[in-house]
Amino acid sequence: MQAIRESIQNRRSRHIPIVTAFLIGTVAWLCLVASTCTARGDDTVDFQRDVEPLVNKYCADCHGESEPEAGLSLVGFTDVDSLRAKSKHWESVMKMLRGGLMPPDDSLQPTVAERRKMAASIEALLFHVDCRLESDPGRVTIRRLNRNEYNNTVRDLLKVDLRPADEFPADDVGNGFDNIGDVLSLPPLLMEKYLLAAEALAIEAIEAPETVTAPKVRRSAKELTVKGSAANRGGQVQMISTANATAEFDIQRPGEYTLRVHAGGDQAGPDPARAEVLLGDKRLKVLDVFATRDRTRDYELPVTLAKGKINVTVKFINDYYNTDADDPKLRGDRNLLLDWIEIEGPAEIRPEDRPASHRHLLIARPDKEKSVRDAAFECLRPLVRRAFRREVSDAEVAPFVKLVESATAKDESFERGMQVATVGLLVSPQFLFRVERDPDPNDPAQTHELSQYELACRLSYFIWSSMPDDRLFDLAAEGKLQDEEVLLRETRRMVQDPRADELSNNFAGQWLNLRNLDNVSPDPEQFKPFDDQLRRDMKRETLLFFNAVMRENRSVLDFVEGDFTFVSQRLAKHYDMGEADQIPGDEFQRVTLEGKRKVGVLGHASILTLTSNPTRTSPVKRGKWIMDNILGTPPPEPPPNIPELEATQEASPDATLREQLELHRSTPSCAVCHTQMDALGFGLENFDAIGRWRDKEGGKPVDAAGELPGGAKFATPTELGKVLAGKREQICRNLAEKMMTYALGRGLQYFDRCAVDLIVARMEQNDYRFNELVEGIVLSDPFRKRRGERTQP
Amino acid sequence: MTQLSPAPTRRNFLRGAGLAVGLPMLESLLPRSAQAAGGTPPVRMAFVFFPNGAIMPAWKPKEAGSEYAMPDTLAALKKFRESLTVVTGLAQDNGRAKGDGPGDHARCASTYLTGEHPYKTAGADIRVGISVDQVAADRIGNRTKLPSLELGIEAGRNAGNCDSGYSCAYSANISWKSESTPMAKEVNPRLAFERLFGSGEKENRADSLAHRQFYRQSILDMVAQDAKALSGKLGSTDQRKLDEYFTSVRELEQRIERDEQSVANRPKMNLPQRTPKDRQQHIRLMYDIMTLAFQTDATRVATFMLGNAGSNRTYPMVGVNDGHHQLSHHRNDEKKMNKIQRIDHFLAEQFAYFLDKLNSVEELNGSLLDNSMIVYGSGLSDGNRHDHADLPIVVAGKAGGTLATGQHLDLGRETPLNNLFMSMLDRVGANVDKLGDSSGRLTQIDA
Repeated sequence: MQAIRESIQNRRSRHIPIVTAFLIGTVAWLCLVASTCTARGDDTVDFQRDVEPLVNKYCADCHGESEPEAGLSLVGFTDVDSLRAKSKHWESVMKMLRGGLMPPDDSLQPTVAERRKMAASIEALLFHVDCRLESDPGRVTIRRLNRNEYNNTVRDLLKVDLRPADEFPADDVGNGFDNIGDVLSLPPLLMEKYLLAAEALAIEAIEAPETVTAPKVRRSAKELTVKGSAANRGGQVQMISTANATAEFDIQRPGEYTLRVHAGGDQAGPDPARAEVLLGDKRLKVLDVFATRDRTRDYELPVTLAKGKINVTVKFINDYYNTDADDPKLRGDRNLLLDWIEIEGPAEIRPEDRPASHRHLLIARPDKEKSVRDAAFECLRPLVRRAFRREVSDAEVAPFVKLVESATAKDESFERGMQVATVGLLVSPQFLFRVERDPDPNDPAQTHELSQYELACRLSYFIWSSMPDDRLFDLAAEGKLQDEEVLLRETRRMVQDPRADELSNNFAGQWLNLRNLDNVSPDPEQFKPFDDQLRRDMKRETLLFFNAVMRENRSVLDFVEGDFTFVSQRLAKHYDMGEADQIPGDEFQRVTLEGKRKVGVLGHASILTLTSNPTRTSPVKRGKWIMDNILGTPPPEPPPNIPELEATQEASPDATLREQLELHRSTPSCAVCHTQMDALGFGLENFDAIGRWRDKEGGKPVDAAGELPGGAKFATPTELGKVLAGKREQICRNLAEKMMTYALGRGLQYFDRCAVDLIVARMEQNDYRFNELVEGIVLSDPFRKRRGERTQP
Repeated sequence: MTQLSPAPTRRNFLRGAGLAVGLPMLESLLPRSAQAAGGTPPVRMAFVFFPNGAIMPAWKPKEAGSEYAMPDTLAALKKFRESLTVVTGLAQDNGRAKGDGPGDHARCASTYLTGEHPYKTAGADIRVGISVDQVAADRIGNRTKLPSLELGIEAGRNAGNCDSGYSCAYSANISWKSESTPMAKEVNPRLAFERLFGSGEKENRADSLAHRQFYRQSILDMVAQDAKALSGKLGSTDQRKLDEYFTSVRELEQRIERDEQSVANRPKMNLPQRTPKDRQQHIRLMYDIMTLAFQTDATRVATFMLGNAGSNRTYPMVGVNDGHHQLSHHRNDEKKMNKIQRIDHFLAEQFAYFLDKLNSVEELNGSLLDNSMIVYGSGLSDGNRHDHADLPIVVAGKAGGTLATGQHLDLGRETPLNNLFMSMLDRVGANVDKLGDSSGRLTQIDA
């Protein structure tokens, strides 16, 4: 046994792990369309029987022993081990065969079946894995937080809601997702943004006297509510007779404020212009406004304000008008002129009025008994632990304490010092990266369980796109997280938590390509109803649907045959639903679907729009979307320079799209893929390019009938949904692969098939329920374990 | 409703240095230091990329030499004829499949400025080569506030696959700092501007510049050490990621030092909070910012992507409501070719706007345009066939009088585009012996 293990290990260590989910998908695809299906994980493929004769026949003339073309010799291989020793070469051979690039045109050509057999056999030999032996959990590259994760993490860490990452550069996508460690890079631009964001966050979270100025809020004349004989002229309220002007303020913090009235008067008569100042109904003071029209000025009064909305009213109370008094001094017109009303404060903030973030982070202050150093340690120990998402020693906290001291040494406040330390934390690599450690990082044979905290992070970033909460931290500290029961219980709790909406936003948003909806622009002439509101509603529908499948633990087959959805009034009208008017405003309502739209997400306007061209539907894109995202069998890329649709259109300009595509498929090289792709897409032709139902297209009745390779027939979208729902294993496998990629933050490799098999089996045993998918991933080896790195030869 | 809470303004803590008064535009804003050396202003370089190739018959002049007739697509550039070199016959050979199958769009963007063949991967092991702008930034970037500026119109793609098994990093970036680190681009004009010139908000009372810079330096020192210590405990791939972090921290430290030394003028510019929806406005604002960056010598190296490779955006402002990429596979259908040509023409008009701006800035020995060399082009010629040879390339500006402008240079078909870049690097004082697949220098452009 030991010997077998070793030989397996050796084999593995020689293989270069660059195979991605794409290849896994390709195997599945081959199984779908070709008879030369390689059974998974068995030993039915034999190099000497299945590969060598074909290589000798078609390749060896040029790629022989002496001076082979491109330096690539394909002779002298005897078995799997020798093949794997040159895995890069053989992978390239496989790609060349699949792409039809080799052998060159002027050489003897293998038949289509031979070509497929060679490629599939090489693949099976290179990437064969026996799941009965100890599994390889793979290794995840260190991941920096992506934009969503950053926003969520700082929110949960500091209890502020700034979303600074919205201004970070877009995270590059790899393997279909934007959380892949290998692809997430850190250019200088991003580092700059990290620093600025950290500074902004620190100021927002912690109030220091150096960075807080009691703000003034001014209501200019235009913003005042004016009553009585008064007019708003030249940015001034001019009160010519009894009149008043009211300003509204929203007080967040109770305390002592300064109230300022900036005013002047047209002076006349024996008295100065008088203004009564009221807070609500209560008179605060009567001001003698001696200032003149040309020299208006501030009149100040202190005022104590409670939290909430308040009204401040300035009332002109001594109007005077006399043109015929005997004494010329008494002739004149008295008016009150008001420029603005302003409040400033509060002068001092009581501890309990500090923002939650401040109270949460500043749990100690230096005083007579406590040094800055001690207070800083007290505040920073829990903060550094949470920021690094693991236990930390005092030695690790010390550099941050030093930052606090560097501020107080400059006679700045302790709070200011805490801000600086927080900036340091937020740009630290241990915060920005999700670090997972290995006892021996460069030994690929060294497979081990993740630490408790690392596992807590995998869970929280998978389901919440954020850091672990206190409960997960506690369980990690108690060492309970690797316990399967605890793991399952926590997973279920987390899925029900509102934060799990992020799984929908980030996983479903990418799995279903929903985010690409932001970039589509249907032809405004043809599709007048399409606007940004509709675009948002479309997306929301699908996210809500995903949420429902997740939270209600429904069958994942609902994605292709679900009989319910969520619509806003706008969307209901778009779908021509009878009850549209009953849906209030912007709210979404759950509706049960009957008849023609009962096809899960395939009937969602979001999916239908993002798989269309700006001017028309694209059955090819829709078919490809289903194969890529629902069935997990992406069609191979087209060979270069194949005739596109238009060539056939020239031949028969009056043909419908379907007729054109049928002509197109008459070429055998196209038919291979398009037969299935087009049939799937045509099944949805009753939906136009922005997802509205139609019975006719271009005056001709829509024909949504189709037949898949293997004979499954359908005539309507609903029937197509049923046919797809019949492909249960494929749907489950695809979802498991996609979600596992997302959960791990790496592309899947050939050895991950074992874990995926287990998840699929789990789903099949339990009615394809969503929870089985999530739980299966959480319990899998790749999720709970890792190994050292296999350095490239 | 205004909220009455003493929340500090968020952006001003430790914010970019030197927020002096705005100077009127179009005056020379070049710092004295930059002009002093021999009285000659520095040569600036920029690379503009447009996606999906072009309709070549309407782009490529029929005659070679100085007597060529300006082709239809470039009509808007007529005004600058004497400052232009239309170069045809350049190729990016490494954009070709070379056994990697489809994915020409991803390859055309990633080879455009590198001349290296990208490693085909959807995730692990992203690798292409260092781009010409980053070679320059590495050598002369320390002389300016920012070593280089990366701008774009389209953010990286959000989901799914970008092009036939290539990670989106390949199609959303043309600038590569190392063979595995793309330089992310800024697509929001306001943020691009603030990056160069600060946000302009008033500084906090007690938050003196000296304190701010002191804290920044201490923080970056500390985290750099932290990264080093951490790196020692990681595997080799993880270490490479930490290296990226470390390099970026070091660049930021240098930038802070330079900020301290330079008291930059903050030009005035009205910018929308969000990325504008109007594409023409968006493109022009980005060109304005590039002009300002060059004018103030905030950087001497810039790249600008008018769209990601394979972009399928529509151009309704010129009556094109079909997607750009979709149209580019026109199969010689006249209607479609006409639409593509309208896009080509529209983008060339925007480029003319940029040249106009550059030309209107006076410097000691001519205009800013005279002291620049701006490459405008695509990584594909005929988008329909994904042709990587005979690329549409225009070089605008005289590079301080060292370029033989006013001509159409026809080089045949397969001269490496990188040969042009080699010659450009010489002119900014960043000469190298080899760049990607370069086979020499492009002496035909020498004045």
